[in-house]
Amino acid sequence: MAEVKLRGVKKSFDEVEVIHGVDLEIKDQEFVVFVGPSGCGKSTLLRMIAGLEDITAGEIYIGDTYVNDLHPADRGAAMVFQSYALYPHMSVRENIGFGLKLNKVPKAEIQRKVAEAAKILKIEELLDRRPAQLSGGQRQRVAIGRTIVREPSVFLFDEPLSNLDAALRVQMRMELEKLHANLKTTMIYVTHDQVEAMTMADRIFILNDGYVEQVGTPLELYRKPANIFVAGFIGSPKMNFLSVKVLQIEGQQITLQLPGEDQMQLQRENINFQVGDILTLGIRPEHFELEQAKGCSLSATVDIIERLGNETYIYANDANDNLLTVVGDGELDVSNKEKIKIHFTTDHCHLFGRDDQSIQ
Amino acid sequence: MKPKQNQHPLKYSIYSLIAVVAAMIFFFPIYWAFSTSLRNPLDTFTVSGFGIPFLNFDPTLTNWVDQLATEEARKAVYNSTVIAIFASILALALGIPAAYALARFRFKTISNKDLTVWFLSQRVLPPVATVVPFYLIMQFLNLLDTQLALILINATFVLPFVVVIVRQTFLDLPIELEEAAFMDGARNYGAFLRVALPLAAPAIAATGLIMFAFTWNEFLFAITLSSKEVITIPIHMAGAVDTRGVQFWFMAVRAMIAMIPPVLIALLAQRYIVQGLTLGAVKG
Amino acid sequence: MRTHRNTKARFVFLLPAAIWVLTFTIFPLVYSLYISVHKVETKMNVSREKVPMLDESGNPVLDAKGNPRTKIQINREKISTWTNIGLTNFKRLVEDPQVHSAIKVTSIFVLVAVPSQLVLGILLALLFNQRLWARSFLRAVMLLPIFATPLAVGYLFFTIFYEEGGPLGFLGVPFLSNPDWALFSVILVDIWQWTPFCFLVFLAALQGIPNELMEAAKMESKSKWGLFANIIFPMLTPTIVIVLLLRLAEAIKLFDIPFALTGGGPGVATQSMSFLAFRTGLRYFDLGYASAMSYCLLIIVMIIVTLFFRKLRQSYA
Repeated sequence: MAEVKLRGVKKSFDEVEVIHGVDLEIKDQEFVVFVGPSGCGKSTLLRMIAGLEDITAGEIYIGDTYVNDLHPADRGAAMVFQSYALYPHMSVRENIGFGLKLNKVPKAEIQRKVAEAAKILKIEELLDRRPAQLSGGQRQRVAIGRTIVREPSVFLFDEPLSNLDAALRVQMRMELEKLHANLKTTMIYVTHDQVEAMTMADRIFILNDGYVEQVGTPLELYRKPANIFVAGFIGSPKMNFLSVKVLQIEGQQITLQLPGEDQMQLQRENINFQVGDILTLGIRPEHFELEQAKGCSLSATVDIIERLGNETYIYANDANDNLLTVVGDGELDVSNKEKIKIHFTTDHCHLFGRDDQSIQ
Repeated sequence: MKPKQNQHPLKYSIYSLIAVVAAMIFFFPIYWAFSTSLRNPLDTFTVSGFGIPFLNFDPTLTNWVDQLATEEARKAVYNSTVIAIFASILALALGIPAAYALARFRFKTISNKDLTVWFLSQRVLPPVATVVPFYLIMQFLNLLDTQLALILINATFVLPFVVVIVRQTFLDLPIELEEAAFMDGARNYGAFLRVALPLAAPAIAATGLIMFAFTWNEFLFAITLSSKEVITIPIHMAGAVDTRGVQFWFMAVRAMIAMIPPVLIALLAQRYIVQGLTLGAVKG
Repeated sequence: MRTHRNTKARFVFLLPAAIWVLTFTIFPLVYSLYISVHKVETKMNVSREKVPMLDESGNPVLDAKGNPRTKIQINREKISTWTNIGLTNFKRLVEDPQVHSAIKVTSIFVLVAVPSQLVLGILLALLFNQRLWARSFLRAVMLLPIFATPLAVGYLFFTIFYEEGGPLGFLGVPFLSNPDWALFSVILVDIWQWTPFCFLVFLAALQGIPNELMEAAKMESKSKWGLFANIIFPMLTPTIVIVLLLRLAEAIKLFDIPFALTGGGPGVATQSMSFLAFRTGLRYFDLGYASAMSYCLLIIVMIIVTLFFRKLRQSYA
C-alpha cells in the first residue's frame, strides 16, 4: 500500500515533448483512473510510474521512495498489460509464479500463493494450461493473477479491458472493483473509455495532449467540468454546445441570446467577458426536456430519431443548423422533420468562455 | 499476391510443365553426382539414357565403400564436422547477445541500423583480402593446420548472418513480454535468458543449422590454413583431382559426401531459410 | 522501435561480437596493408648436422665397439626477410598483365552472371506465383543448389561438362578446353547455383504484394505486360536492388568454382581476381604482392558497394 506522487513530470521523445509538467497525488488505497483520448499521454504516464519509460524531468515517488532511477522490478509496482503479455512458453502456473521464482521464493510458498491467487480469480482448473489455450477473459485473469502474487504497493492497469467483448467487459469491471475492495491496495487504471472511468474510479484524472485537464470524483467531473474538453469527454451521449451571445450584464445576471429567437438568463459570479461576446453554453442531452415546459426553451427541427427501447435519441437542428442531441423517454412521440421546443433549467447549464474554461 | 484461382487448365498444364523442367534442371547435377557415384567406374562415360539407377545400369556401392574406407575420407568428415559445429556455436554465442542489444537497446552516437549495416558489411569483404594476413598470424601463433584456427575464422565469417537474422527474430517478439518480465522482477539478463531466448529458440536453432552448412562448404580458408592434419571435405575433394587424375567416380562420391549434409539441412530448415533470406533482403 | 531503458548491460551484450569483428577483420586488414608495402622473401636454409642416434627411450645407441653412433640430420629452416619497398607492389599491379586479365575475367563474369540470375530469378518467381502441380515440392527442390558446396558443384560440373563422354558431350561444345567457353561455363555454373536464391527472394517479394492492388489493376486493364510493368516491377524494385547488391558482393569473390572447374584455365581464361591473389600469395608465396592485390580487390569492392548505397539512398529520398 502506498501513495503515488508525481511532481513536475515531463516526458519528451527525441525533441517532442509529450507530457508537459504533470503534478498529481494519489492516496493510499485509492482507485484512480487516467482517462483521455488516444495519444493524450495516459499510457506514457503509467509506464513512467512503472519504470518502463525514462523520465525527462520531474520526480516520481511511490510511498516515500524516489523511484526515478529505480529498475521496474524494484519499485514495488505490478502491471497488467493491454495485451496481457503472458509468457507463451510457460504454463499458467509458471506464468503466475514467474516473479516469485525469480526472487528465489521457496517452492512451497510459490505453490501456496499461486493457488491463492487462482482461487480469488477462479482460474484453478486452468493452472496447467498454456496461454494459447485460454480465452481472452481467462488470459486476463491470469495476467491479474501474476500481479496479485507479487503483493505490490501499487497495481497498474494499461487498458486491460479493451480487447474484450462488451459483455465480458462489464463482467470484468465488476470483478476488478471487487478485487480492489478485497486487496485494499492503490490501483492506477488507464483507459480511453469514460464509462469505465466513471464506474470504477474513486477519482479520475482526465488527460489531453499531455496535460492534466481536471481531477475529481466521477460525479464532480460530471457536474462541474472545468472546461469544454472535460465537459465533452465525460457523459454519453456527448454534451450539447451552443453558441450564445451576451446581450446584457447586470451584476451577476447575464442575458444570453440562444440560437433562434429565444433568450435566457443565468447567474454567474466571475464575469470575465463583455456584452457582445460569444460564449459557449453546454447542456447534456439527458437534461433537455421535450414534454413538460419549464425554465428556458429553444426551437429545433428533428432530423434523426434513434429508438433504443428504454430511451430515444433525437438529433435535431437548431436555428443555426447546429446538431443538438436530446435523450428522451422510450415511448416518446416524435416524428421526423417535426418542429420541437426543447426545455431546460439553468441549473443544468454550463457556461464556457472564449478560453473554453468554465465560468462559475 | 496469392496465386490465381480460376485458371485455364491448359495454362496450368503448361506452367506446371515449365516449372517441372526448371526444377529438373536445377536438380540434375545433384542427381548426376548421385548416379555417377553408384556406377561401376568402367561405365562412367558410357551410361545410357538419364543414368537412372536400376533402369539404365546396375548400381553398385563399391565406390562409396572404397572412399569411406580410406582414413583420409573419415578424417575429412571428422574435421569438417568438428569445425562446423564449433564455429556455429561460437558464432551463435557471440552473435545472439549482439543481436539482442541491437534489437532492444539504443546506442548513442551510432544508430542501431548503422551498427547492423556495419555487421552486414563484413560480408562484402572478399575473404582473400584477409587470407595472407591470417596465414601469417596463424603461422606466428603456431596454429597452422589446426582445427582451432579454422573454427575461429569460420565463426568470424558467419557472425554477421547470425547478428542480422537473430536481430530480426528478436524484433518480431512482442516487447511487452520482456516488459512484463521486468515488472515481475527480472533484470535485463533475466528477461533475455528466460523470456526472449526461449521464444527465439526455434529460429536460433535454424540459424545455427544454416551456419553449419556455410562452414561445411567453406574452402578458401580451409585450404590456406591447413596442410596435412586438418583436411576438410572440400580439401579432400580437391585431392581426388590432383593426385589421381580424372577419377570421376571418386569425385562424385566425395561431392555427394560434401553436399548431402548441407542439402539435408536445407530441406529441414526450409521454411526458415526462406523466411530468413527473404526477410533480410526484403526488409533491407 | 520501442526499446528497453538504457542500462550498462547493453554494452555487455554488444561488445563481445563487436570486439571480435574488430580483432578478426579490421586488424588483419590493417596488417595486410602493412604487408603490402613489403617484399617478403622466404628462403629455406638447408644445413646438415651430425647428431647422435638415440633409441626409443632416448638413450644413445652404441655400435659394436661401444662408440655412440651418429646420423646426419638435415635441418630446414625457413627464413623470411621483409624489406620495405613502399608502393612498388602497387605499381607492379598496374602494369601486370595477369592482373589486367584477372580484372577482365572477374568483370565479365559479374556483368554477365549477376543480371542473368536476376532476370531468370524474376521469371521463375512469376512462374511459381501461379497455381502449379506439386508447387511446394518443386519449390523445395529449387532451393537445393544454394546449399550445395560450391567447390563440389565446380567438380560436378566438371564431370558434366567433360567433353569426352560427359552427359553433354553430344553437344560437341568445348566447354572446358576453349578459353571463351570456359569462362562461359563458369558463368553457367554460378547461374545454376544462385538463380534459386534470387528466385526465392523475388517469390517472397511477389507474395508480399497486396492482393487488392493486383485486383484493382486487373479491373482497369487486361494487359498482362501492363500489369507487370506498372505494378509488379515498381513494387519489386527495392528487392531487386538489394538482391543485386548481395549477389554483386558475392560474385566478385569468385574463387571456388574456377578452382574446381577449370583450375583457372585454360591458361588464365578463368582466373578471377581472388584466384590470382590466392595463387600469388599461397602458391608462389609472394606475400607482399598478394596483399597488395587483395587490397586492390577490396577497394574496388568498397567503391562499387558505396556507389550503390549512395544511389539507393538517393532513390529513396
